[in-house]
Amino acid sequence: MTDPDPRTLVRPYTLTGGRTTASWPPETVVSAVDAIPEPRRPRSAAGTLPDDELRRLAGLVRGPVWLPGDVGFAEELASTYSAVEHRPRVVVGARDSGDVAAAVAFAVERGLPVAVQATGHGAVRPVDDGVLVSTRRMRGVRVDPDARTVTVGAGVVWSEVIAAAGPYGLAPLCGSAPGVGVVGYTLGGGISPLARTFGFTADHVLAAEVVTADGTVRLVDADHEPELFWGLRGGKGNLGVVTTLVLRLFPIATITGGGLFFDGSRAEEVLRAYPRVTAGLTEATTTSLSFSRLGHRTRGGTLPAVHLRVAHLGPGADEALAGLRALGPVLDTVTELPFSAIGTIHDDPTEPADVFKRGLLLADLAPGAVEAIARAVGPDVGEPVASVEIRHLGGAMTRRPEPDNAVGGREATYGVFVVDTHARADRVRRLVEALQPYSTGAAVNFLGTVTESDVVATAWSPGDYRRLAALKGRVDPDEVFRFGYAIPVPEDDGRPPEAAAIVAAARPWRSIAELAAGTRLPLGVVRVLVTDLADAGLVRVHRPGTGADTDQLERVLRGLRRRL
Amino acid sequence: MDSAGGSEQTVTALKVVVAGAFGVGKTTFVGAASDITPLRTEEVMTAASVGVDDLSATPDKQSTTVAMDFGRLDLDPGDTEAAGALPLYLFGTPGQYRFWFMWDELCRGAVGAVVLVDTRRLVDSFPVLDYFDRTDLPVIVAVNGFDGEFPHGPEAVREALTLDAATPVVTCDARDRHSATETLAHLVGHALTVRGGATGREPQRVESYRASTAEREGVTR
Ligand SMILES: Cc1cc2nc3c(=O)[nH]c(=O)nc-3n(C[C@H](O)[C@H](O)[C@H](O)COP(=O)(O)OP(=O)(O)OC[C@H]3O[C@@H](n4cnc5c(N)ncnc54)[C@H](O)[C@@H]3O)c2cc1C
Ligand SMILES: Nc1nc2c(ncn2[C@@H]2O[C@H](COP(=O)(O)OP(=O)(O)OP(=O)(O)O)[C@@H](O)[C@H]2O)c(=O)[nH]1
Ligand SMILES: [Mg+2]
Repeated sequence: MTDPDPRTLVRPYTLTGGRTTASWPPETVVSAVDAIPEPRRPRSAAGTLPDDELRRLAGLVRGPVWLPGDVGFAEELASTYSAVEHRPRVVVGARDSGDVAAAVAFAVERGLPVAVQATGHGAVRPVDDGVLVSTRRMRGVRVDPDARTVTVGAGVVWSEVIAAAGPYGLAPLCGSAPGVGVVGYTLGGGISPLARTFGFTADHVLAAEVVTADGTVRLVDADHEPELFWGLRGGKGNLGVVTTLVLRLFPIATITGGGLFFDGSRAEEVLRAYPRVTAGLTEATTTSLSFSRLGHRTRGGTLPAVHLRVAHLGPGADEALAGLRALGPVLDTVTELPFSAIGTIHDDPTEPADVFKRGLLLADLAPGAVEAIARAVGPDVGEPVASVEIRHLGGAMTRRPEPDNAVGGREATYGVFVVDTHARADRVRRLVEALQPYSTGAAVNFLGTVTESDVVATAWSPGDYRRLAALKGRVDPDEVFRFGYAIPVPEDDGRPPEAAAIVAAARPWRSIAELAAGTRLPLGVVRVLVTDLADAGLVRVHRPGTGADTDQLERVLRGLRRRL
Repeated sequence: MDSAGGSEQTVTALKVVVAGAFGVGKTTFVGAASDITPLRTEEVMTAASVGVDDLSATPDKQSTTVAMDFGRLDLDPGDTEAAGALPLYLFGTPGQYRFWFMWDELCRGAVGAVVLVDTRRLVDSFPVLDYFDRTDLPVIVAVNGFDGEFPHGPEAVREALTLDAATPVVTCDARDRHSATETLAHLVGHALTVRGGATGREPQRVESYRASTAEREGVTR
């Protein structure tokens, strides 16, 4: 490329559609306006459907059917971990994929949406309409020791797979809590305590059986419906109800695992050391760091507040873990474990809790990100956030499987998940907002209490999100599956897809320069899009002043000197 | 993130321009001082004859890309509860200083500019300093000592660049976070002095600052 004479150059988008774009300087701050429409709702006939009509579903399926008020309705929906109370119009206890297909067809014919629940551990907000398919009865687990695979029904939980595979010396890429459902977890990518060694659990899905919004049972794998196979692995529950999954197993009998515990007084020190001690770890070691205001409750009583969890695979554990142990824990439970004890590594709480949760992924634990977390966890903080968990990611998670899937977050090196009570949700939000500048997005399984579709969108790269939304438009154009982390069918608003990416990134606010870098668009193009979005009332533009006043300069100087 | 509070807050965007000749360490400086992984934003420029309403602006021989570095510090002045309440943006100017119109935009409303110079190629810095002579932006000249070498004292640099006595000349290591932060603090201090607001009120320098390169003390009074 030869440089043209710069004196003749102009911005190509100085004029767009006959009007001049605002000449905002690159540090101009843009913030998303929160009136983002919820996913489009087809009119639901539920309000006008008599109970008798809903009860006709019982004649179409093998499993039980409940309406609100029926004995067993609440029990069917109850979850061990979540206190969210669903109120669908009707619940089907599906026994097989035929039941699921019948329930979906029944709902679609009557204009009702469909929700799905296995354990309820991933409930985002109450399901308040439509048909809820409960998959608890779909409990088939079949291990093929020669092929090293397991075929599971939609209601299977990890502990059942661990128990079935163990006798063959095989193990699944389960999550930290064995009581979580295999399908819901895996469709969201699945970040295992061994994730750095093997990648996302969804990278090891070989095939799926799924009921789509047209009521058809489809078998999908690399050769059959490859686009649906791409999207199911990482697209969560957006594309249909998965009735069966085939997953790869791994020949693992034992792991080196457990926890290093530190007193709460050392929270900040351990946090500051964490980027350094994890940087040197190979893919054989996956760790996470959890801060718990109340201390970690276990069967043995209350353990110290800072819990560094460790899982190491294969030989060389002592050398690999030396750097972590050098931090001097008060309690070190890391030892050789049978794989069946993997749930003891995190020792996640098992009581139902109605909590506010938020999570995001970070490219790195940059100094500013560490500062923000330190401000939230103490020890000198008056009231720390109830729980902050940092997972070290990367390793094998950065490598795309063959064929590729829709799992997002491969570029992240750390994931942060923040939990507190609803009454203290502001603390959670504040920490998440402070971490936002360092964020590369979110993991769908760790999005937390989020329903806004533009925040949900951050769980995928803009390109993958667009591809998923287009796929959704083909397989579920009426948004029958609109609960959970719903991806809306794109409406043609005449705006390029980058506009949605800008709105998603402008939370709580971002400068135009950051938006341009994040979307890889030229600054001027971002200005044009921001002008359009501001006109449409979707973002607000905060024009910088004409310069700093003396007071601001003095504050900047103080802020800089505090770092020296 | 559904808190309206977050988006209602007013955000004061302050910025510092990091300028200098080709290859003098601007990108390195922005990266060292920034809290976020330094970003690169691009501006596509095209020959005027092509027409001016094409959003897609495909780079071809009629157009060129002008890149600038971009970083952000979330400062904590110690007087607020909120995290990251005081962002300071850093903009590294495009190396091709002939894209003067972009510099104008970058400099508008800026706190000031750090002009990085490399004493081995002082002559390259003239056009840059000429540019700032025509603005009323507070400027400090920071000698980037490649590999910690400062073969020429600041006074020699001042003379060679024909700087007036009011323009501070400091040394820095563009690769070092502490040194880059120190240079920024220096610029902001200078900006306050220029306004006449802060003379005599300048807080005591911290120990490590005083212990650094002695010659700097001589030239910044
Ligand atoms: C204690 C605990 C620990 C966890 N640890 C991890 C972890 O280590 N790594 C990780 O990645 N995640 C983890 N999670 C998050 C977990 O993966 C998600 O909450 C997941 O959604 C739970 O799935 P479920 O089927 O048990 O829950 P459910 O509430 O039954 O389902 C949640 C969602 O999954 C989807 N879904 C479920 N079944 C189907 C189906 N058959 N077809 C289509 N969609 C379906 C639906 O969108 C549904 O709303 C953890 C959660 C808890 C509570
Ligand atoms: N040894 C040493 N190398 C440096 C220093 N500062 C920058 N460099 C190197 O010098 C080269 C140029 O630095 P950059 O930061 O890219 O310079 P720049 O001003 O952004 O260059 P352009 O954008 O091309 O104008 C890079 O290879 C840097 O690694 C320094 O203080 N010491
Ligand atoms: Mg550069």
